Amino acid sequence: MALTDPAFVAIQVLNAFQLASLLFLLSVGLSVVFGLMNFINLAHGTLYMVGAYVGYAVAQASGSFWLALVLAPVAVALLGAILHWLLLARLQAANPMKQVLATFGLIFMGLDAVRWVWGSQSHGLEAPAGLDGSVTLLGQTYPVYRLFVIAVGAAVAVGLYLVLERTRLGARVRAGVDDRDMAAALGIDIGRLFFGVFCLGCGLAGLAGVVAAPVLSVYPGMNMSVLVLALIVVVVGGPGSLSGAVIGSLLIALVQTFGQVFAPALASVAIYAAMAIVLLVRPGGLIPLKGRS
Amino acid sequence: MSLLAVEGLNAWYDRSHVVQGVSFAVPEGGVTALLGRNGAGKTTTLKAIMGLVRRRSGSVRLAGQPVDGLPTHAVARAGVAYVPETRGVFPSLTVRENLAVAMRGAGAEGWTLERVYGLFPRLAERSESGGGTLSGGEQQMLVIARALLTNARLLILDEPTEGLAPTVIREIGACLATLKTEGLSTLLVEQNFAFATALADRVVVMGKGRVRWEGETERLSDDPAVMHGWLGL
Ligand SMILES: Nc1ncnc2c1ncn2[C@@H]1O[C@H](COP(=O)(O)OP(=O)(O)O)[C@@H](O)[C@H]1O
Ligand SMILES: [Mg+2]
Repeated sequence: MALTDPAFVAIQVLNAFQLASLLFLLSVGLSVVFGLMNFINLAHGTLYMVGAYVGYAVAQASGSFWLALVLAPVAVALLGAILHWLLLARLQAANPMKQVLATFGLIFMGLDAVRWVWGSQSHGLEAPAGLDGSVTLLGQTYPVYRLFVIAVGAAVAVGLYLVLERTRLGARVRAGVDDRDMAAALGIDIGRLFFGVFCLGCGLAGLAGVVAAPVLSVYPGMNMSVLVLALIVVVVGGPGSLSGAVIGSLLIALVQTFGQVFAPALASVAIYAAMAIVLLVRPGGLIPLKGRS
Repeated sequence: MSLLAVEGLNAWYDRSHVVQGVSFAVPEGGVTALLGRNGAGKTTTLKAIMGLVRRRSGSVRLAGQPVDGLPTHAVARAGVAYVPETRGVFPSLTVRENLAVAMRGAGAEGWTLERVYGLFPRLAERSESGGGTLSGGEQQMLVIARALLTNARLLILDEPTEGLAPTVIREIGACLATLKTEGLSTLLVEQNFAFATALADRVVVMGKGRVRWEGETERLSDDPAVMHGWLGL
């Protein structure tokens, strides 16, 4: 088992892509929201966990993974809308420390809420028929569902790219990230734009949760490690850009996956080392914001 | 009735009271210049009109309708286009996208992409270039064109000639003169006295946060105290 075995390396790269797909779904919302409003939502990982639980509950009740895949992101996007109305709209003008504390508080409320509803034990969600098998790749068996996870992340990345780069609405979002005041002075309602982007980002976190559920199990606290990784992706990729989220997710997932294979004890250190190196070389992240210094 | 009527406008940065009871009017049609030394409070006055300073008070009316207290995007939609000192090109958008984000789907009347490209052919040539790659003159053309595309009733420009080469300044001046003959109302903040007075019908002079003089451009040179004391000329 080493880097000299091409099949082994290929499998690990696929594993890294699968993790990158989940990290991308999580970090893209965090990143664009931060770019637009300088707002850090530490409860983003909690929304991922809620997405996994809602997906689990829908799949249990209906027997359909596909229904869960559709309903969980919608439910989490609605939860995001409620959070926005109750809390975040009031915090936007507040200082960053208040945002950090309030959304940090939501992490614990989220943990208690899922424990109260679903208990402390972990739950499994079955991959749906058709995606529950394996394929043979370079002489190794590989679960089809993992390829599906990669496909979901890639499809969302392409979809977001088309909206952001090819529509006027997307250009307005990028304009808001570049210079919020200037966008407002052209008549763009940044508050409404932010609300839409925030809810979409929450929905994608929910999608990440339900997509992750058949691979990782569903348990209270499943959000914590992934929140830290997503925050690192935002910092490494550079906040506010889609390409930053894509590249950051790939880099962190590769470091994490190969770190775990070759030096499990050092894997988490490797992530922080990668982040430190990137920030030393490019303090604004790999894709820094153009509008800011 | 004036197009823009500012009455008793105040603005603060933290505790420093930078705009102190400023009142002036911009008539419909023509160019009004807002002049004054560096630090007089001109930029802050414009930002207060646009709702871009946190702490402000006083009344701002556009064609009689109050716009003070409205969020910035609502002031813009009421019919004010603001081009800041920093120009405000979106660097990660192309020239065409910079223009497109400002278009609000007005009717057949008014400004279109073709018409602004006609006014600034240079922008048509560079339509697919990134906003961050433009020269200072191209940036200024872009932000004026973008402001026009909002089909605003009032164009507010903050030091459009700052840092530009003389040939580019002449080009911008010719364009603003054309817009004036087409009936556009403009509030022009300038340090370049000759540029501003060549265009403006009326002048408002600010000094230390207050309006010190207001009147027709020709009358300004009759008042050496204003010329010397508040404009340093
Ligand atoms: N963002 C700011 N924070 C604090 N003070 C400011 C800020 N911007 C401008 N000022 C101060 O307000 C005063 C007026 O500035 P400004 O409106 O930019 O003047 P002008 O445009 O006439 O040169 C100056 O004394 C300036 O130092
Ligand atoms: Mg100024």
